[in-house]
Amino acid sequence: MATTSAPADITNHDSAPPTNPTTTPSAAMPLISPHALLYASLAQEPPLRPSSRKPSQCRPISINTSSLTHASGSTLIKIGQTTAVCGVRAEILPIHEIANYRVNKTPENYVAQADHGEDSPEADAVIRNHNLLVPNLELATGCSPFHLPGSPPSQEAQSLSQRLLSLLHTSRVLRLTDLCIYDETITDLEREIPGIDASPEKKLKALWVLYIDTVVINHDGNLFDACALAMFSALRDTLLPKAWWDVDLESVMCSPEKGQAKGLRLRGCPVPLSFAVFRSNKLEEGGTSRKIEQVLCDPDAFEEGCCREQGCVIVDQDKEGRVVVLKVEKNGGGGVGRSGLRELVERAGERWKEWQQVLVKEAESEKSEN
Amino acid sequence: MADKRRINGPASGTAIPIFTPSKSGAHTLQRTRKPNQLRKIYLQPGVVPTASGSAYLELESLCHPSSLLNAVPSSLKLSCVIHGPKPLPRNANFSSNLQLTINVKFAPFATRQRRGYIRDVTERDIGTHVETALCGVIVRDRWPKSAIDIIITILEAEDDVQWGSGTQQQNTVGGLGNMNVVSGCITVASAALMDAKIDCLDLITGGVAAVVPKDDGKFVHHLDPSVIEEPFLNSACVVGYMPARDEVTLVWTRGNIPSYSDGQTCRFDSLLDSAVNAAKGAHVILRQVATELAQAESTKLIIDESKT
Repeated sequence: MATTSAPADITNHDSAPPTNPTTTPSAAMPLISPHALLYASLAQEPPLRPSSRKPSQCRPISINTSSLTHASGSTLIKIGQTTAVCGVRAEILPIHEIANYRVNKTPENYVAQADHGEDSPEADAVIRNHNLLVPNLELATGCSPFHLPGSPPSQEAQSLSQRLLSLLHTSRVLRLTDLCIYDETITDLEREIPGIDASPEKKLKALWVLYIDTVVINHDGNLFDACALAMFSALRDTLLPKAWWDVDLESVMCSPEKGQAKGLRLRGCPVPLSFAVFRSNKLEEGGTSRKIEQVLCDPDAFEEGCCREQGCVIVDQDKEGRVVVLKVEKNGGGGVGRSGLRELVERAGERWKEWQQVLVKEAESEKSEN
Repeated sequence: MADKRRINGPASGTAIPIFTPSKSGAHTLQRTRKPNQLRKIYLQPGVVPTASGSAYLELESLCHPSSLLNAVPSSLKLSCVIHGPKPLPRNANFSSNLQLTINVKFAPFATRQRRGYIRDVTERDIGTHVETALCGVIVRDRWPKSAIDIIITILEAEDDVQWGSGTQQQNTVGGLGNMNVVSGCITVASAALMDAKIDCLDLITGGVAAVVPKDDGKFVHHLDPSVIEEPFLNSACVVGYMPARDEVTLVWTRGNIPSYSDGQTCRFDSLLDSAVNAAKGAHVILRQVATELAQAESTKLIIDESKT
């Protein structure tokens, strides 16, 4: 350029454009050319993501439970910058209000089975058929510029709620026996007959319905993991008051005493690990680019925008400490093969351990607060 | 009509749990604060990095160890996000002023009764009050043909009536919880506007005051009242106030202002002054946040300059 010979202070006052046009602020790069930026950072050796994480490295999780007053159980979760609040609210569904409830198909039989065999499919069917679990997700909180209020829930919000619901049902974390409210009163007739031990017959009168609402405060990718973990943690935190059927009032009454309230006995502790697969475009600049295909664990919003193939592995650990796969979801391409998935499951097993540590730490801090 | 875009519960609807009256009786907290002492405010700007401005506000919880499930007092928790200024859509009419859209939404778990996802009248009403307060503070003709969205999510609202007592309360005005929400919304929106660097005339804050009857028949003004501590109050007032200009952009009063027996003449004015004092208290916090924000900005600038 001609200005190279001129003193610096003169060029500054010149109306000519700056000599170095490449001084784009680094913060603007993801907006200008996201794909190229991600390509450039993953093409280096060893590959490093723009957030200076390794491809298989997840962001740290932090949680805070029981922070909401009006919820039976609640959790604030942060995965990196992604922040969500989940609150569980228990309400009562009296049996006599269920329109198509049939006496000959009372869940009592199922409940009895669930008590004995613990894992009866009929008990899960009752939870599903009567919609006892109602997870919903609110994205229209301004958490990202793409989800503004004033319109119906976006496709993303709808699909996430549906995935959470299906995860709740297929992972079978909740037990029907926890959600039943019985009539345990001894009738006068039973009391009057001598010789019969007045052991009350349990009559199912109502069911607890759990409304699990998640409000996303900041959306920085991997919402499914954040919402699922927040949901499970909030369910662990949930206390259901002691409830009984009051014969005189003909309704369910609850005891306000905290000592009588019971927590939910969850089956296992599922942990999801979402991933995205980045694939370099054919049309890179100059056409000389190397083809890369890289699996990114726990993608942030910027990476999610660049990757078409995304998926999730949900694992749990059994009593012997083995990793058990509960669910695998994947769509958008065929980048991850069998061996790739196996690695992801292993990685999810590590994530499971991380999550246990987070839970233990939170339980300790909760204890020290009380 | 069920909302098909969300997951709905049982079709027949569900009932909220009804608690038996507890043996230990009603739980009321005595106000231990001085009449002119506010609850502590936690205010943090910049919680949502993708937005142009955001802030989170939380009030000190008046928590006390309780063995009852339904007797835990709630504290205000608000999150505010601002998107914009952005151009108006092409088909919109020309506007020489910045268009404000305020969206106030209660989270489903924010109140004692579960809230739906569709905005109801209360939320719209609170939104209108906040909009009135903010319209007067933003320099709107700086941005012709543009709009901003202010979205406030109420994660936890304050109770409107006292609970656990079981008896019907007499001699009190309702809606104090919502007044506290309005005041909190104004303060948090002001912090978010500051974070978004939108030109304002001043840092506006909200304040609430109430007239509380005493046993000796006199009345006192309590700043930042909460329903848990004041079972009986005659009237309450919320203001949006700009201290530097000494200007009030919003006044909302409820209840009956009593006639004082001991020659205290002006009634409404003194209540308004108390509310303004409460707003001045919140302003101290907001100013502190502004200073910290400016300091962080300037150190960031220095680092950026040293890099280049």
